[in-house]
Amino acid sequence: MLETQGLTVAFGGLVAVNQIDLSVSPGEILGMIGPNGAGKTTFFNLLTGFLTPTSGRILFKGKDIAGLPPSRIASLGICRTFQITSVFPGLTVRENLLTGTYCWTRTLFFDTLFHSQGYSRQGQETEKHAGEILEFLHMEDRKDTVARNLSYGDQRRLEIGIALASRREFLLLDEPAAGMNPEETQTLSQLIRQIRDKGITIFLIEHHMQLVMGICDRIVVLNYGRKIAEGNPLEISRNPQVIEAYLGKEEEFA
Amino acid sequence: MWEATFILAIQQIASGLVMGSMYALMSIGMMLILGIMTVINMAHGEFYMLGGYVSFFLMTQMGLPYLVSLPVSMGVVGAIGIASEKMTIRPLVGRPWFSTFLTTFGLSMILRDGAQIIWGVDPREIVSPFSHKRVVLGPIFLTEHRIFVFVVGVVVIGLLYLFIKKHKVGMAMRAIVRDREASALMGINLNAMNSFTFALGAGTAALAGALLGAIFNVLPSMGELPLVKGFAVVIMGGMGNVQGILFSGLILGVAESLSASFISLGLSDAIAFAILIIILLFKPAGLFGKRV
Amino acid sequence: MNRRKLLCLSGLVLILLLLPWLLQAAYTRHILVMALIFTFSAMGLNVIFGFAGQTAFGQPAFFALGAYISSLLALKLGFPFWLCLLGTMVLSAGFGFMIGYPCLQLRGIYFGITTMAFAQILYYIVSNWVELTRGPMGLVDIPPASFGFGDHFQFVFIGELRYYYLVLAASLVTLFFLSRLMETRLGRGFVAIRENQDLSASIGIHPFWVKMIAFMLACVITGMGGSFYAHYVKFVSPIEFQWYFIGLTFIMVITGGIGTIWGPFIGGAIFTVLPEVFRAVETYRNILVGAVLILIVIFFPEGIMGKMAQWRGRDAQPALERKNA
Repeated sequence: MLETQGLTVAFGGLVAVNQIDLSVSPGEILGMIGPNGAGKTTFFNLLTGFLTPTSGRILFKGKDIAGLPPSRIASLGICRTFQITSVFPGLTVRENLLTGTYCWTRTLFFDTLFHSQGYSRQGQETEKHAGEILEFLHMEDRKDTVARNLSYGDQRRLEIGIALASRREFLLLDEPAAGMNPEETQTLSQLIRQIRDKGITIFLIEHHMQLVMGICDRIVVLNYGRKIAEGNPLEISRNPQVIEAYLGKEEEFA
Repeated sequence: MWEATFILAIQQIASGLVMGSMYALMSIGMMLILGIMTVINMAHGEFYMLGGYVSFFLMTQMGLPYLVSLPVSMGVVGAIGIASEKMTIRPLVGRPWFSTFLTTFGLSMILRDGAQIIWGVDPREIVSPFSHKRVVLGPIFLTEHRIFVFVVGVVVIGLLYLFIKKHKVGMAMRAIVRDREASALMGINLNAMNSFTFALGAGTAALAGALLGAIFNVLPSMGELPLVKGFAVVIMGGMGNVQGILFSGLILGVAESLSASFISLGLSDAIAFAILIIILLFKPAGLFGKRV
Repeated sequence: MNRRKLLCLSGLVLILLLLPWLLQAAYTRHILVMALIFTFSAMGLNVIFGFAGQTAFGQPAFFALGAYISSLLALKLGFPFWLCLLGTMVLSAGFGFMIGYPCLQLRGIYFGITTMAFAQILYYIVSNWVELTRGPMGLVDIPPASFGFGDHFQFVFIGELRYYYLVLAASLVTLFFLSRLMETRLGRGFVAIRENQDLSASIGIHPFWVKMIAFMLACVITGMGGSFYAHYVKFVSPIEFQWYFIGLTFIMVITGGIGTIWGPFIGGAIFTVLPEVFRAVETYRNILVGAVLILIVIFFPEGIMGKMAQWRGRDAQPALERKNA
């Protein structure tokens, strides 16, 4: 579904992402790990248009999307979450989700102006979709809470909810488990699996080894901007180069 | 012919530097208030205006010499600043930035009309002891007063720079801009710092007003244009950067001066804004902008 | 819309319709007309500042620009009023695009100050291009607003009463349009960008163009107000470009309730009427207005619309970004 070829980005003398080739198959959960500063979020920024690559290609469903603006990439089918919690702080949970439906809703202005049938139908559809996501996230009771008043864990879930609301086929999750306790991480694992079961391809960055080892079909390891390993969780946990990259860091292994 | 143009240019640059130093002086206060208190002080022009009036008042009604009226005027307007801060800014802690934008706007209305009521609409002239003596520097000449203004401006700005860099209170100010919460936890009294910053801003604006009041006349509306230009200089110079503001102010003063004589007097005021636009389009964080 | 809301709305519209009959003095009616005209400035600013969250300091200058455009279309090209109004809307959009394009390359306060810079430049161009605009002397003898076909049927809007209903109709239509606009996905796009621009981009909202549309729309609405102003007062001068008017527009939008539909309307009305109410104490007028402004900001944090929403027990509409002072 997604493939990068020789993807590279350099800032002045610093090569943050160096000749990375990888591919993501439809319906799989791919994890990306690596020490801090390895270039993982930079890689995501390249995929989603927040950065333009210096060289290399990014093929999404066969089409080169390198350098396109984020909104265009979103309309093509990719949605992402951010490392720092990103929601619409002043809107309620429900409104957050409704806003997420932007890319697939289209009402003619004429319809909205006179509240015609087309308008109410569209409204019902988005409300229904938002309702489904609320149920899926178990957040119905908080649907009218303003987002900035939610707990940290809830905001993170809401973030995923907004991504789901966009009905994109490919989700990029940037450290979804950051700051979560083991219990929340468990719930998150289940959530991500359920999302994949709906047919959505997931590519995630994480530091929580248990989460990564537990749910990822395959894992890619980055260090200093280069891909140093790729394979299933078992292979990765045994890979000597990976272990060396993490030596001295306080990470846990599965 | 070219020599005459050249001499005119140098002359204009010189007087532009004088104006520029005052723009910088005003803008530093605005920048401090914006950076430390997150307040856009719409009344800053009025503190400038009050500086001129208070100085005038002290000289004519109380017979103080000009040089003494300067620091006293700074003190008086600084005190007005503290009182204003308590009434228009303190009650709005935790509110969005435009709340203080509006209350200081209301404050400016009050101060401006207050000045009008007390002193009337007619322009006043401050007579400086340096007023009319000219100093010849090579091919150009400047009044002693203008040289005095420039020197005072640069010295005060220099003192501010050192203060912020070396003095305990100055460092506290920088700490607040970096991380407000952490500063409070370290024992810095935020309320006192707010009052102090506001008073400092008001005082420096007053000084600029008193200095320029002897060149131009003192009017209730004299603060209007300096306010807007001041903000332009703050943005041009970049937040948190005293040197940046000084240079931007000087550049602005010189640009205005040159365009006034070589292009047109009317458009020289607009130059500030044209320059600002051009600079921002090429350097979106300002000429010397960088994170504090 | 539920029954209660519909009732309140109808009541309000009824009062607005009857107002000139209740207050018969010509001068009072004049104030009402001016209040309605100035609400356009506030409604326009609210689109870019309230809904889309962009602090466009210079945007209210489009009121004066609209006034000049409309006057020049009438004086130099002999356009009838309705064509002037239309032309003003189109040209305001055009200028909005030209000015918005460079400004929107920047974000936050830099964007704001750049719009302000353009506003000041416009002021100086208008003040100094004497051949076109007569500079500080302003344009005079602007023909009054009228609708008609040919020489046979001309309905001229002279007098406060007719003008009141003309501008009232226009502002109610605009309010209706805006309330429906905010229900389209474009309107939701405005709010999304206000709340979180990067997140908006990643769900398919194109920040630059959505902000541009908001800005252009704001300029069209504000420009309309300018057009109504020109053909009512029949005199325009560069004074309207001044900073004071810009500040006043912000006051109207914020105290009314930023980002609400009726907020700018109410704020516009209050801050046109208030200075008039205090006209009796001419010398202290601005002091009183300033004091009232400070009090409103302190005691009505979410604006007047916000306070009303609170009284009805709901969360104020829509919530604002809070930063520590």
